[in-house]
Amino acid sequence: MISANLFHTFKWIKINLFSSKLNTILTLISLLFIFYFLTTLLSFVFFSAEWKVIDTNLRLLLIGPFPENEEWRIWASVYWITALSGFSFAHYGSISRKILLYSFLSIFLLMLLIEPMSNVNLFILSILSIIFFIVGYLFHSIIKIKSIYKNKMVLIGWAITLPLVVLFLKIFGGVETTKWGGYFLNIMLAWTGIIFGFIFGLLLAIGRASSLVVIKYSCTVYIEVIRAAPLVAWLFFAYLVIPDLLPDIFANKVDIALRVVIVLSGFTAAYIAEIIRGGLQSVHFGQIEAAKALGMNAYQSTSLIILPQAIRAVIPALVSQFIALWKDTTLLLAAGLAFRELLGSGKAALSQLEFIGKYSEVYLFVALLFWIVSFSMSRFSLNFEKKLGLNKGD
Amino acid sequence: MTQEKKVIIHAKNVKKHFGDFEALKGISMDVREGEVVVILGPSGSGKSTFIRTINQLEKHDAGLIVVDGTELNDDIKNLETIRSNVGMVFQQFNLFPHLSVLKNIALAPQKVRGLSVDDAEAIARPLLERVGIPEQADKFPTQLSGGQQQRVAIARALAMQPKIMLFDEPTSALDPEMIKEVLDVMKELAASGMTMIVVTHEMGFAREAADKFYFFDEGLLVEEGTPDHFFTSPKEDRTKLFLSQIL
Repeated sequence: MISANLFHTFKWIKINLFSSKLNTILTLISLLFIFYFLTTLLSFVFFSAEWKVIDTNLRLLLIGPFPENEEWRIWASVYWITALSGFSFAHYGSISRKILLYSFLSIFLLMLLIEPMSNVNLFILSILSIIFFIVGYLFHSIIKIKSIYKNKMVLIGWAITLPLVVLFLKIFGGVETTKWGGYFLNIMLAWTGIIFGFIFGLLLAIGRASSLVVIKYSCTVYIEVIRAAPLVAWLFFAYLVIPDLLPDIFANKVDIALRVVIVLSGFTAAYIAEIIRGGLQSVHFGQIEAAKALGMNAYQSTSLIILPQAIRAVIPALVSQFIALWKDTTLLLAAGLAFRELLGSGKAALSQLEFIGKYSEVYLFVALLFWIVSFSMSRFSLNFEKKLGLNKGD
Repeated sequence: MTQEKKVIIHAKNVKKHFGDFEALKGISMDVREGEVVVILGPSGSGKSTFIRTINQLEKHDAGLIVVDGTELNDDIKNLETIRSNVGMVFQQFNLFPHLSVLKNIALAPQKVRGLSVDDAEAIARPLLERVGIPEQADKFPTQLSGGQQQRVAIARALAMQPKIMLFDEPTSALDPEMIKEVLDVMKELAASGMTMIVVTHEMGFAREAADKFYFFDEGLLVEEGTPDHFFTSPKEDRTKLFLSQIL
């Protein structure tokens, strides 16, 4: 068996990497680059880097100025999400156990790397989240109900997650949004931005395709105006202009984080609307006729036939937009808002006397955290596409 | 004997314009319950447009159309109900590519008729048997051959238990070797007593299954009669010319 496998590997290498002179040269050059890149990176990560800056500032980077004795709010949210993820993974079963095991191991190694037992509490709390994941995973096989109901549980679970997290953060006194920060703030902003941006964008796209002139042109004007200015400008707008526009009673009551979320989702919605409009155009006219001929009304044919196909056709573009929004949450820093999101926290860490000049360590860590979410989103969409039978390869 | 049955489709002087183009210049036709009607004619003669006015995929500009006792006009509120009683099979199948074969068939009974998922699928499965492809229930439309797709499309229309079936060139987009399997299903359907209006050039099917022929040209009904009449003694020159071209 092993020798047969080995043989196939050799064959693969020969066919794909060394089939011609040019191919061989390209392969060798690429290998050289990869080798150089990896050795530089790894020698930096394991030898020359001083990770103390991350270790000391981990709290700042992850949750910013969030009050220490309120941290349970975040942990409660994390546990809910990990348990639900475990349940969902067990339900969809498309993620192989091997990949899961590897991701756990890498999380574990990462944790050892950045917090060599200096913070036992954090370590235990993190381990607990993995346990919650496993609990969710096992819970799926323990409960004996129909698969459709489990399906519903997964969907409802994720649907109530955001309200639930907000509840955790706000219940029993709660923590003001100005105290939210770090990675956690990026996640919250992107998450709400994506959800509301998508819903609003969907409505805009349908509105723009409407035959009612008033609705059609309002949507078009909105999309064009929003896309005419950069996101940073709209963030300034949220910060400085909106309070002046609102009646005095509301002026100081509308939470700044809420204003930022409104701008993020409103901005994303314009782009999502255009992406979905492209999807709508790709749906063949015969589909609408077939739906009509079966006696479906306009609402049924739109929601059951047209939108599912339109959205399916534009999943890659939608996910790109979501990833763009995820990274645009750092623009809070550029807009000079009072928030300390991840990048801002990184800058703050770098301004500490002890850690001046530790750019590589801080930005590498920040980049890694951004990459984890971006990459997960892209993998998630690939999996989703495969499930829909759209994507055959990687 | 079919003459005694009641008229289920009554069309009188139906007209339709597309811009300056007059697609239908006044078509009148009565179709009785259980009748199988074949409409012939060169492309652009208005035959597709006419059957599309029967379920109002095209609104007619003038004239009268009564389907199963209900007049089709702008005031009509329950157009969906009428459409759900008139099944339609398209040239391009128009199956829903995002749904499995079974869901394609069960969707409308579930959402339009309000049946439960189980009840809707209990309707869908026997229909798949009837069109001869029960084993394809969980596949997606794109995984099927053209002939199989069109049979699914027929099953999908039948799932609404329509009183009338409209076929708009159902075999024109098919490879020759797949035409027969679709025509066989249609013949079985005709024999079961379904009222059918079929736009087709398949003369073998027409001769075997049709009760009545109508020949359209340039938006006008040129000639009507039994299949025998058409095959043995067509009156009009245009009919003769057309038949000589396709036979």
